[in-house]
Amino acid sequence: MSNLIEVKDVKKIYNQGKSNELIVLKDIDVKIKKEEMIILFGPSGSGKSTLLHIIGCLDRPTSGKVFIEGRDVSRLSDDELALVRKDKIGFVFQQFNLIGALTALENVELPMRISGMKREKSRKRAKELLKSVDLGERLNHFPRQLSGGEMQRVAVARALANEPDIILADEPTGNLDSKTGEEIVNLMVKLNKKGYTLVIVTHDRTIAKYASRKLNIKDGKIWRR
Amino acid sequence: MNDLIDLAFKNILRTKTRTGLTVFGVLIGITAIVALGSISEGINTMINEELEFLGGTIMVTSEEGGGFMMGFGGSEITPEQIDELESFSGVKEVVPLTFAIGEMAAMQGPEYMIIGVDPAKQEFYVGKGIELDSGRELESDNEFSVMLGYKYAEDHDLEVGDTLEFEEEDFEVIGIFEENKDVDEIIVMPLGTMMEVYDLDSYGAAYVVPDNVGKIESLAEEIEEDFDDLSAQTQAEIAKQAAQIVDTIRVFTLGMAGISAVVGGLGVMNTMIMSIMERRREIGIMKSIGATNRFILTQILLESIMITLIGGILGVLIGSLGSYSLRFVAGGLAQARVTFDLVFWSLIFTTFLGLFGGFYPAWKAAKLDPIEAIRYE
Repeated sequence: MSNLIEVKDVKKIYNQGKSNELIVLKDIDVKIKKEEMIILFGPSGSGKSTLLHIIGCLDRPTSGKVFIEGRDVSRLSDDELALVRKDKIGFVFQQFNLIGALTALENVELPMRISGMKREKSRKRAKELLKSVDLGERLNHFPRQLSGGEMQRVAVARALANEPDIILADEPTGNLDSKTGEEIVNLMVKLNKKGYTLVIVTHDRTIAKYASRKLNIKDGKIWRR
Repeated sequence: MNDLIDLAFKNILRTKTRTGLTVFGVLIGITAIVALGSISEGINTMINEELEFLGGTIMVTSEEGGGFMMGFGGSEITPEQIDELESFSGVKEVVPLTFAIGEMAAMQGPEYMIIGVDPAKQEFYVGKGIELDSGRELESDNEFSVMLGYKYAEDHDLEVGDTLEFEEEDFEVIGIFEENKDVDEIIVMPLGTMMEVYDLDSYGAAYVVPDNVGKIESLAEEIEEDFDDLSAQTQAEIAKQAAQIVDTIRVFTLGMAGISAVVGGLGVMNTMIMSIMERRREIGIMKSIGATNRFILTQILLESIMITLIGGILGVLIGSLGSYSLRFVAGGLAQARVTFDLVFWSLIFTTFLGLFGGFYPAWKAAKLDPIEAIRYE
């Protein structure tokens, strides 16, 4: 079976050639198959978030290649990368990153609206997604009226809006207490069972036990598989 | 696209006070453009109406008395020059005119003007479209007969058949013009009688009627070349002069108004820059969920165009209202006209202001690095 994601000899160097040069990733090779649930862990500053951003097409490697479904995305333009993010990738962040001026429903609709989906259709789908994360009663609440766990569930619903292949999560439980954190973990596991491929940066041990693989990143390198 | 507009509208309503003030800045500029622009349009119309009265003729005056605006005083054309003009090639007819200024009324300039015209050629002076209100036109054998402007007759309580005195001679009123501001204070007298009574041996001006109206410009040039001391102006030339005056007024007023509009545009730029600074993180989020640079650029531009257009539309309304109420304040002195063109171009200009004010902030927002923008607190 071919790889959904393939990271090949990826280096990421900030301020290359200058006195403040910073090597964040060196020679990373990772292959991720469909329906895997990968955990990235390691000390802070190890480069795990940077790797997640590169896989998520938010960033480009300094050298090396990244393939998503066999397509090399490492040298795409800003707008081409944005299109890959829109169609293939859903993000979940530690800070939830919802838009405060929009309701839960509108936040979930936003990626579909960016895709140019018709309004009735996007509204209907957003409602279904929010129901599926048990927020059917909170559609018209603004983020400030929601608890942390609720906000993160809205964020998960938003990540699913454009039916992505890959869910990328950066410390999704990092800002939640252990109980609500567990709800999010269960949600992630459920998504994985439904067939989504997940890559999660986390220190959370409860997630770790469900992972198909754990990658330990330290000093910009993967240490064990 | 609809969604984009919806979202843009939501965004500008998030900071109501700031948006309101920015709109106000644009509004002032556009109000000024519409109000001042409508005044120069009004002046333009007035001058054009004035010009229509002159018809397709060449007006000849002597050099020193020349010019359309001050034309009627002091100019002298000799009978010999009239003869020469009559035999000039391309000339169909020459209509010499004499002028006399009436008594000066306090604070208002001359109360009336007497114009002497050959009764056989009076049609060239009276022009098309001006009819008599009562009485009849001059006839070639009339001597001590006059036609009066409507206002003059009314002010002096004169009717057809009455007599009035000029230079100690009695004249009979034979006709009164219908109300028309071009002839309201004019008295038309047979040319020969006038020259005798006022002891004139030259003419004040002459209308030259060309054989071919299409060659009116070149005929006027030839007359000027041939007669050193005569100036010949066609309606087109007079129109050109008038247009220059109007243009000067227009450039000046629109320049002033334009400056204030540009200041409004800078206000928009300022607002949009602040807005994207505050929304940096949000823009990063939008990008992370798939918004392209172009999407962000369009979004921000839409917001700034929306701000300027709201200001522009309100400005057009208030400016129109202002120019309309000017009629009541200034009476007949200033007639302002809000034309379709004026409104159309004001709104185009407004849109342009939105683009001008929004482009730099929009470009900055579009170029934001999504990772840095998301981290921004």
